[in-house]
Amino acid sequence: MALEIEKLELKRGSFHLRVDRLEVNSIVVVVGRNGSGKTTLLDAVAGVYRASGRVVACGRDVSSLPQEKRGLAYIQSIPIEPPGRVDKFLRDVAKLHGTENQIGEVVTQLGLGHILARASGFSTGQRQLINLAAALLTKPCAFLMDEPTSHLDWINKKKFLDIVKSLEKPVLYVTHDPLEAMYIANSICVMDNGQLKKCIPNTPGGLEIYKRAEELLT
Amino acid sequence: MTNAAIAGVAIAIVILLLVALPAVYFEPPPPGFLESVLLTAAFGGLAAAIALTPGLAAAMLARKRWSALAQVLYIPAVVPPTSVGVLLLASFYIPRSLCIEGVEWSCGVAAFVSGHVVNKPLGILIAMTIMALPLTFSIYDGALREERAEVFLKSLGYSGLRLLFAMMRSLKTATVSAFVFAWVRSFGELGVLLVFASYPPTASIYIYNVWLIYGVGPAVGASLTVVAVVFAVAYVVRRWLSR
Repeated sequence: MALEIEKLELKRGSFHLRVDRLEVNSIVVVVGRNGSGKTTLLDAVAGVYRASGRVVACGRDVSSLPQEKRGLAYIQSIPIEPPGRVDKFLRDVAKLHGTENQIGEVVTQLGLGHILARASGFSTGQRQLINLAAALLTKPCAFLMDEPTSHLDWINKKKFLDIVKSLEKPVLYVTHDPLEAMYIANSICVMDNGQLKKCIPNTPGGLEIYKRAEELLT
Repeated sequence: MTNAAIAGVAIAIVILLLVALPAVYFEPPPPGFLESVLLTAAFGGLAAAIALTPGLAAAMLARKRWSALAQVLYIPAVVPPTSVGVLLLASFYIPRSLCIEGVEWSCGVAAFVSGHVVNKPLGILIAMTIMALPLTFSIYDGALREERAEVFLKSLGYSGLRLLFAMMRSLKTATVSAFVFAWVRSFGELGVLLVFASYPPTASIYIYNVWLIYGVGPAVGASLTVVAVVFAVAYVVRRWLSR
């Protein structure tokens, strides 16, 4: 089910975010310059800030719900340190959402088996994968991702992006990297001055360069 | 090199003025020293642990609409500690005033306050917790400016106390810093305790009394021993908690 955004408006100081309509059925990547409002858009959709307009997820209007009840998993550029051991953290999240039976599958998918018993000393890439694992276990209506690969090396970036491509859920993805956008997007939207200037369907032009980089680095 | 030189000068000044020169007067502390240190360690640790949750909650609030309100937690750090002691004393004496004026229910509260709070262990805990709040608040406030753990954890469905405790564990470095700093600071707390809860004597009250009764030598001995013990324990605790 799509993530639908209608007449979303938010004012923060002199900055004004306004998105008339955006329907996220698959992976929609938002690109734009610094300060164009990409993160503010995700924050407004997630419910970090109270915005006017409608956000529909899983077929229900979640605009008036608090962030924790919207069913939107929000992955950020700086992944958080898991609160305690990885296995315990994932179990806690799974318990909240009744997905305990999926922990094994998610752990295998993301290759986290070897760090399950650890509570600290993770690389940024490992932390981001742990964050993604926790997000997957919430069975969200949609994913919001704010430059999630900005601190990852090429190999981890490719791994992360391939997982994002396999999610089969609406993903609203913000990045500065046009190659990354071309690699994962079904459509790419350009944001400027708080507004989506245009959205275009993506052609798989960025695939080749990623494949070549992968050959080079693996 | 410049950084090392500046740090070196600061460290040298502190060591010279607070360790090397006073050590000339060193005399062993009189009886009661160990008890006062253990009492301070226990109550300081408990107060630091208690102050973590409200400190974090206020820091989270400060990131939202209630930023001005959250700054209220700085009050204990802004006014002199003796004033905090006086203000606490005034607050806890309100039931007594009401009791004198004939408000019956307040008499029981007044009896509890004089029997269990003022100049009692509970009073020490309250005073130390109040004084620890600005520290835990400011450390978490700084940590939250760097990281948006709250946003991610909320999107996972965390809320209320579950969110607070998850944040506390996720911001482990800040939590350890806040705890250790508040605990260390509790050893130096004199003003508020002198006015509000001077008995049983904590390390600071003990050193103050020793200085009044026995003079500089034993007070220097007690002070330097406290410095050595707290410095060593804080270092070990910080290393252990940061694993």
